[in-house]
Amino acid sequence: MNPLATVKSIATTMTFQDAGRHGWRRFGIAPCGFIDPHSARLANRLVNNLPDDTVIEIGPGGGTIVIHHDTWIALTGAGSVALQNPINNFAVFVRGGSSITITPTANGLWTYLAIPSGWNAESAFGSTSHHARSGIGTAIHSDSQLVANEAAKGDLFLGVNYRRPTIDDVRNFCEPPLIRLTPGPHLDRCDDNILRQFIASPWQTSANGFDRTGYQLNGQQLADTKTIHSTPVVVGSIQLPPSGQPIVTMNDGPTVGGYPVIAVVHADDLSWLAQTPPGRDIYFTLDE
Amino acid sequence: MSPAKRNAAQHWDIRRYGHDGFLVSPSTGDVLGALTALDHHLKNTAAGELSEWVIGYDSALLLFREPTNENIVASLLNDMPYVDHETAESNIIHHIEVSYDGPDLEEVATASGLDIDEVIRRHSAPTYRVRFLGFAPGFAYLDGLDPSLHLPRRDTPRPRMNAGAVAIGGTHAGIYSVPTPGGWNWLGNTDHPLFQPNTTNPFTLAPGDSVQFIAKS
Repeated sequence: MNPLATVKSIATTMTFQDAGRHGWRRFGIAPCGFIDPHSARLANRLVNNLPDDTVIEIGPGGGTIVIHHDTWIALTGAGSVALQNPINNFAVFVRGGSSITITPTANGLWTYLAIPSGWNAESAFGSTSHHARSGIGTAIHSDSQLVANEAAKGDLFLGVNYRRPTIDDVRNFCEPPLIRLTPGPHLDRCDDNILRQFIASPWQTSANGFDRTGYQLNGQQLADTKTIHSTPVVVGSIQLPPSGQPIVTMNDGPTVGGYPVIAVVHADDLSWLAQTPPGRDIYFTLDE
Repeated sequence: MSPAKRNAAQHWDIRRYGHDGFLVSPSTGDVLGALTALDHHLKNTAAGELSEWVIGYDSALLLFREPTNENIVASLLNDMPYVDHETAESNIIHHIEVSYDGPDLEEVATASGLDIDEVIRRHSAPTYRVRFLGFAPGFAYLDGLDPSLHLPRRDTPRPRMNAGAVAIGGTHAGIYSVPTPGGWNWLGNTDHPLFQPNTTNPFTLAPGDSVQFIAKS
């Protein structure tokens, strides 16, 4: 197949993602999927795709891709691209031969790159989301050739060469809202006040402790807990290990865990948490 | 169905778990039997409102398509037809050849006060039962480990356990199905495939199956 683009460099990670796989957790397969569904779907919408078409998710630090043929691209989330000016949250018509360098901004951690019809990637267990640990889906590395599902259409938006989302759809990840939580199933294994204590003070993503499997949170020292028998975890489970430093399970995380789950992050608020870089305060609130 | 044919005696502890999920645990009686029956029932019914379920050691996660309430979950569990545990058990036995050449064999021998041959003998003697799958694709938690080999996990997990690493952790035995970081004590290795994503039967082991390790000479 005729590649639309070639990867030149990757700072941390670059993966194909869609809405993830469902129904396979009981076999030990993580759900995977967009870590920030809001931004991923916005990218798809900007190039007239279905919301869950396959996009490329670019991790902290960004990367460079060379586009070989004229095409529309959409870029949303954390990163920006220097075309005439550094811009993010846009769709633009680019000429074959263009080099697209995604550079990190203070706005967040994850960037999404969509093209009309979506990226072509192998589907495994009902999803194109790559899962490194399971070795399923198509991996992207430096020099990977990237193929579109259909030949790019130059005339997608006639007479227009630039699109922006409405202002309401653009999130400022520098100002996250209070992240909503529901109480977890293991509060009876923990200190009585643990949830009140948890929401009383700010938390920060650990600088070396976050990836698509989980986010370790740094903050106040919580009372230590005991381990439990392996229990199913969901995306957004906040587990409390004996160290007292909580871990939020993310999309690529294990399907079971051995630490008490004190709370679960509301599914609609997970993308805010996912995009919050280390060093920025996150506050939680109870949504009972 | 007569009332006697229901799991009427089984009590379930039901707890909300996220906006669309519940964690349910058998609170009395035969925990493993009740979870096996639940897994069996869900596999054999098209539970329309349920999107997914996951069995753990002593609990199960039920995820629903739409947020629901405890009463609905309770009636789902109480209306579940009685499943004879023996019907739900599989009669599949996997014979898995192991080269006992793992890096933790000596430490396990020291910690358990046994010599290496005795560790191998006690690890390969029992017929294990797959309790549930989790952690990584096709990774099975095996019940039946000899109590003298119940040892804590390593203080610092290894950054990489190979696929096929035969290991023990706590009260369980297991085999790493894909290369992952891991904290279990590594006793040996097998070529027996456990996860084959591009085949019609990607997962070798299923809950209820039996596993017998055979020491490769």
